[in-house]
Order: sequence, then C-alpha cells, then structure tokens
Amino acid sequence: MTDSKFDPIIHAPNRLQICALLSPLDQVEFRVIREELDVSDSVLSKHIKQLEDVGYIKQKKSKVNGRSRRWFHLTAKGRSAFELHVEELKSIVSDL
Amino acid sequence: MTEKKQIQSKEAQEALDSINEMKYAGLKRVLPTPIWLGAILGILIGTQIALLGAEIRTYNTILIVLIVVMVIAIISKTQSAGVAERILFSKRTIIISFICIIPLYFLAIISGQYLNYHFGYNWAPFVIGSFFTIGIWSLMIGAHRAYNKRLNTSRS
Repeated sequence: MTDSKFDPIIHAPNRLQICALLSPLDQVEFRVIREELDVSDSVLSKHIKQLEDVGYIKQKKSKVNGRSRRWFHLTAKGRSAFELHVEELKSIVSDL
Repeated sequence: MTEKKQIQSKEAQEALDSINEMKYAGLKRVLPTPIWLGAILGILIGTQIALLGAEIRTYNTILIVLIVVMVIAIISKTQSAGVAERILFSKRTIIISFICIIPLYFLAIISGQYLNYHFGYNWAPFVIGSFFTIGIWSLMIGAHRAYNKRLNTSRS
C-alpha cells in the first residue's frame, strides 16, 4: 500500500475509524468516539492529536451541566483526504 | 495476480468494511428529533400565529415559553446523544432560509390580522396558523425520511 493517493496518517486502523465515524456526521463527542473505537482515553487522544496536527480534524469545547465536553469534526481538508483514501481503497478492491 | 496484490486487496477490503461499519455506527447514534416533538412545536408556533392574527394575546407569553422549552429540549437531546447530524445544506442556504423565515412569520401574523379586520374572515388567522403547523411537521417528516434513507444506504 504505497500508492501516492494513500494517506499514511489516515490509513492507520484507529485513525481510519475516527475519520469514518466523523465523515457522515457534523460533529462527534470524545466519549462517543472512545466508545465506538473501544480504546482508552490516552490512545484516542494520541490519534486525535495526530489528525489535528495535519489539520484533518478540529475540536470545539462546550459545557453541558457544568462539565466540559470536547466535540470533533472533519475539516474540509480532512474530508477531502478521507474521500481520496476511500476511492483508492475501492480502486484496489475493484482491480481484484 | 501476484500474492502481494491479493494481500493489498484483502487489506483494502477490510479497511472498507471497517469504514462502512463505523459510518453506520455513527449514523445509528444520531437520534433524530421525534416526529411528535416536531408536531408539538409546529402546533405551538401555528397556535401562536393564529392567536396573534386574531389579536388574542392572552396566551402569547405561555406559548413563547413553551416554544423556547421545546427548542431547548431538542438542542439538549442532540447534546446528550454526543453526535450531531451533518446538515447537507450549505451555510449560505441556511442563512438565506432564516432571513426568509423570520419575515414570513411576521407576514403570517399581519396577514391574519388584515384578513380578519378588513374583510371579516375570522377563520383566516387559524388557516394561516394551520399552514405553519403543517409546514413544520412536514419538515420534520422530511428530515426523518432523509435520515432513514442515509441509515439504510449506510447499512447496505
């Protein structure tokens, strides 16, 4: 999997799942991502930071009942990179 | 086909399966506003338009409070779900819609008052209010259908 359309940042299983989870939605809370991926807070934070560093996702903070909540959404750059990545995956499968 | 290609295809298929699974899981988490909540909101707004059109202001404050409570309930439901559905309309479309809806709301009230007092159509404000109720309810049903369609597409 070394094709140029492949995004190594996205292709890692957990980060691919994060992008896939965020793709059909406007924004998702940290708790929900953690539950769906079934990973620890620290593991998820690490992957989220990597995606944030390349500008693929952004976070917003909100307070609900006095508790701080972190919401994440795919940026336009992240969405485009993810879609290209999916297209590349589909083309590999269709070549079979 | 080389062995390397087969491994690539298998890996790619697994990645695609994982993507579809997560998309479906995300959409399943979205709790669309229940139709009954939309119906109540529609009835409240329609009633307010009808009563203001008929110059009956006694229940206006109560109706405003109830509408605000309903809106807060809808927003807090989204917050508690931990996911917010992606709005497929552009920001421009949403802003234009709001710019159109607000004058339409006042126009509905003024039209009701005008038809009521100048032509004696006592039923006019109530008909206008009913149109608003049906409109809001239809929007809710449309949103539900769109959500179910997306969920079914994602599942398949």
